[in-house]
Amino acid sequence: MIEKKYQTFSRLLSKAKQLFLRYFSRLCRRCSRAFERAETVEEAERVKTIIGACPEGECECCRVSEHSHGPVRGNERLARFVLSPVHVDKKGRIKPSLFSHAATKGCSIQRESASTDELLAWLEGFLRKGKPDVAWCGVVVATAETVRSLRAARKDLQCFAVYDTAQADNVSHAEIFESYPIDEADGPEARKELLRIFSGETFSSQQYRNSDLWKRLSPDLQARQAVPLVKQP
Amino acid sequence: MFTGTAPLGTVAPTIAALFAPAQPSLPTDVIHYGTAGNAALLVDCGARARGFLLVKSETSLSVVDALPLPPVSAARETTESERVAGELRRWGMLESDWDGEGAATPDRNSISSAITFLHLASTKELPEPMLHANGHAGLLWRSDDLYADIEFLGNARVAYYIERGQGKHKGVVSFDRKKIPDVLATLIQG
Repeated sequence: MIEKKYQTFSRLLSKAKQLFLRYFSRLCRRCSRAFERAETVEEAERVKTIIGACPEGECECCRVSEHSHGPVRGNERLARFVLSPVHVDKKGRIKPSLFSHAATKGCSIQRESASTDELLAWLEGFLRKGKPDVAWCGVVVATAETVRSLRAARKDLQCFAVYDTAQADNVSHAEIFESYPIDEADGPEARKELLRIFSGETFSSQQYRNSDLWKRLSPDLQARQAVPLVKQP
Repeated sequence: MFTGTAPLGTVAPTIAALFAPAQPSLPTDVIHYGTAGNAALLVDCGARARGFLLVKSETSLSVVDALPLPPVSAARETTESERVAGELRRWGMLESDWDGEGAATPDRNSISSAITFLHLASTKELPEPMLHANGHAGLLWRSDDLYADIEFLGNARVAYYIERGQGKHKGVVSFDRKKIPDVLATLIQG
């Protein structure tokens, strides 16, 4: 009973702190330093390091990157670019493996507030530095609020946190991380939830942004062997 | 069952020397994984079966025995199960960062487990293969009344999440590669 009251108090305190920091986000050096430290560990341990410093998505109200224009708000649309045909099935649907980075180093997304020019610069750079197998198959979209609302084994905790991990050459970059260490027995269920919410809005590369991004992509990158995403009924 | 692949370009001259006819054609692809131990049936450019070669390892192929076969008029089509297994094997040859986002090198134990599971499972529909960022292989069934995501953890264990009808089931079980764990057999085979 005492332990339950303590947990409730601890959670209330954490929420109060988040509300305070929402209005004073510039003060949260602790969170941005935690993310800087996470860059120095092995990639597979990055999410664990961030959970250790910012458990249960505590730092979501903070700006965690100096390149970011602010924390990711709930109503922001998040675009997960599908850049490996491995994650697309033969019917043009994404597979849950598209989100498995959320448990290891962070699952990269683009904030849809980015301009087409910004996205084009990032996408071309990404495709050119990657292996030839990497190709743009399409985009799936969900809001940050929907991602944060997901629950799996622990119904009282949000599964995933969304942070504004902007980079110097990609200021719209953000990431989805597990917000607590999800047990391997619960991993497939958590991935399924991400699959469900992102499958709601699916675009092939030629449909996204009315094909504006596709048309401006270099022909050699357009020619790569991609498995196009298909809008699901 | 064939368990490895080799770059055919490195052994084409050896294969060409093996085939007796005056104008041997160079093989173009492996199209059938034979059941006679580690062997691969190679098909030449004219799509006529020529013989078996013994695969020594994943990086080298040596000619140990040639068993000439009567020519066949057309190559057998790859079955769906072979396509899935072939895709998993191909992924096993990928290097780290195969997705451009820092994914780990595929775990060969995990891939091998997934292929064995695929061959043991007898389901109406075949699964799609998966490869996770941590290098683990997976199998995914998706139909009107079944959603099953099975991840091969690489240490004789599998993690699963299955929705069958209105029910949801999840956990981690041992997989000894001899038979499908009972709980999974019941849920995915119906």
